[in-house]
Amino acid sequence: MPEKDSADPKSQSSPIPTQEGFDGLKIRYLELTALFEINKILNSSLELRTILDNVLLTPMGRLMISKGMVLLNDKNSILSVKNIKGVSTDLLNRQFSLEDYPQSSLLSRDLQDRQEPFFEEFRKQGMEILVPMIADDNYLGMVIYGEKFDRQSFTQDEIDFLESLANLAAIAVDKAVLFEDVREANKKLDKKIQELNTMFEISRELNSTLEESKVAQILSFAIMGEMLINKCIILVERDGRINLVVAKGVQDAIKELDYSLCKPALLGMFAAGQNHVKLGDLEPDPDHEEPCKILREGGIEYLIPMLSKDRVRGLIGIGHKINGQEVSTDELEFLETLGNETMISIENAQLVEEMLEKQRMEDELMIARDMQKQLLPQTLPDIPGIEIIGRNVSSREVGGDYYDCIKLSDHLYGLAIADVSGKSMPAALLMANIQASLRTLVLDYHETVETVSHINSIIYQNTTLDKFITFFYCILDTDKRSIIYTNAGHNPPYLLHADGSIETLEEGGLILGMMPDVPYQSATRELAPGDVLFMFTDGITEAMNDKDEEYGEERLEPLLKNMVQNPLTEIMDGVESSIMDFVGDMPQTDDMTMLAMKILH
Amino acid sequence: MSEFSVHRKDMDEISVLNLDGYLDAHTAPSFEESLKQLVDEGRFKIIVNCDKLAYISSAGLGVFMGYIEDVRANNGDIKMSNMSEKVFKIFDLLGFPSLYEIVDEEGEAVDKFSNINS
Repeated sequence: MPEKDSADPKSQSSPIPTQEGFDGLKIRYLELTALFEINKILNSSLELRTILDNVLLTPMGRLMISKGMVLLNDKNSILSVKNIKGVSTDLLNRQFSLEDYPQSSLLSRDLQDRQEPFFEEFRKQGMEILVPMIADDNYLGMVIYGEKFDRQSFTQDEIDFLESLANLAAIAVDKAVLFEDVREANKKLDKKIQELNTMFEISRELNSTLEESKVAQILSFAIMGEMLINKCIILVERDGRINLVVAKGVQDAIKELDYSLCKPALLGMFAAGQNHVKLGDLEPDPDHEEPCKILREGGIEYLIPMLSKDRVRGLIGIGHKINGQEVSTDELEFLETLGNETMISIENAQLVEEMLEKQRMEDELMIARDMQKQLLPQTLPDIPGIEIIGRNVSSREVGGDYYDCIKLSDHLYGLAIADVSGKSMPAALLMANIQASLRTLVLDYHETVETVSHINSIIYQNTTLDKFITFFYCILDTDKRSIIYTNAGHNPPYLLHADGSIETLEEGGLILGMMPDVPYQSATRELAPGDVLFMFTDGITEAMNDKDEEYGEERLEPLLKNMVQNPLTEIMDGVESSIMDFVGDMPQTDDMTMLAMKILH
Repeated sequence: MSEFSVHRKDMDEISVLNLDGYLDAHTAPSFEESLKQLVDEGRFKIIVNCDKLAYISSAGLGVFMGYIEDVRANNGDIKMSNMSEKVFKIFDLLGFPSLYEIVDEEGEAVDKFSNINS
């Protein structure tokens, strides 16, 4: 090895400068200037990259070195390659660990015996000198340089220069690493703040939204934006089954899956405390294999349970992140929190929807009940020699029972009783319909077949086939003391004779509203003093007790027979109390209506 | 209630959506409606001009996610322009710049679409 530059350092510090020593000083001065300059650059930059670039490039230019690299030490004392010049980029981020870290600069000849991978690589890359970067006893890493272009070995001055540079760089790197840590921490903090903002925004929005589907939409948008995901489904349990409330970006197979069948499979697959399932990692299990396969093939990778009161009530399904990154534990926790928060809102929304629906039905019932009350006659006409009473006990659900008694002339009276199909508002409307038809028609036709036929065609034209009316209509002639009647499918009224015999009035035809132009017949009955005509709706005979038994004709008939001698009010009271005794506390679902008349003399 | 509106401008094959106001969970459905409309009409070259966008939340960003795959599968793209620093910060934080092209001026985005065509 040439010895030309191996000048004794002592000679350079000699008080009398020789020419050689003077040149040395000049170089020294230049080096100091360079150090000063680089120090300025290093201290003005907090960018690690700029600092490391300068640490390599400055000596490379000044001493004509063709390659070099910087390795930084991490918290676990592992060195990784952070900057390279003139060597293959494969080396970047390569990691090494050493048994002991060189505390001062070493040349390749000092390192010949070291066998660790790092030194092998050092030799393989043709590196010549290693300079540690140490600041305040903190081992930050090392800079290594290759040979000088002229293949001369490094002089002590040059080594001093590289060491000084490394020391200066160490301080700057220390600061930059710290700064980078802070910046990283800040970024994490910003991300957390963003997550919190999302949580806050979602919960505010959730609290002001009372529609389940809208709540789920908001949740899906937030998840997709926050996590860079474009496939998202949300399943929510309701009324004992699960529904797909949101499906974004997934294949149709997921939308077509019959979720009513997979409720136990999907909601029951989470162990207590388990906050997600990765579909790809799922052990094969016949319980949930089928739906999970469809979800996975449709683009869903993770399922996150949405809990309410420790019970899985819904699921969030997400696809992969578009930027190719794995879903992190932090993100899964974020989803868990967001999902549970949303579940509470969804449950609230469901409750409110149910409450509103109940309230709406309640309101409708009230109106229907009022309507029914107003459609029934407030008073019945006074008929000489005849007593007539109508009663209606409206059930909670409001059936469509109707009765009427209309004076047609000085000796003719029309009596009608009807039971409209359905309940509540639809029934009340149909009841209004029949009342209007009847009241209009009876004045034109003093005969039952015509009247009933006309009403039938009106009802047929104005209703769907599932709406029908059982109807009994009779005209009382007080002069002849007789009735003519037509029964359109109604429970046959009883004609009770004073002698205790009883007959049912069945002549007529089909119920109203089923078919147009149905032929109807009528029949006439003579009446004698003491006779009672008892008309009723099926709410009477079908009144139910807690043993699921109906009151039935078999109880009504003997009761009426026994009471035929009594005043009409007592008969009505008797029937009513007999039924009340029979049903006990059972709430009745149908109206109970009676219309009866008694021939006094 | 937060104010938000979308104004659409069509230029040949390109459609520009100008966002105005606060795009958050509350207003996200209205933006989604606009994007959906474009996709339904088969207009896949979309520029979202954020000049007047005062704020965007994760839910707002979620709307972009829901359409990008569909749009790109149809040889289109969603590019964004004229973002304020504040709005860009949120896009950046959630990693959007790696997935979406975000340019300074609407014109640049138009040029980028036009260059692909030629």
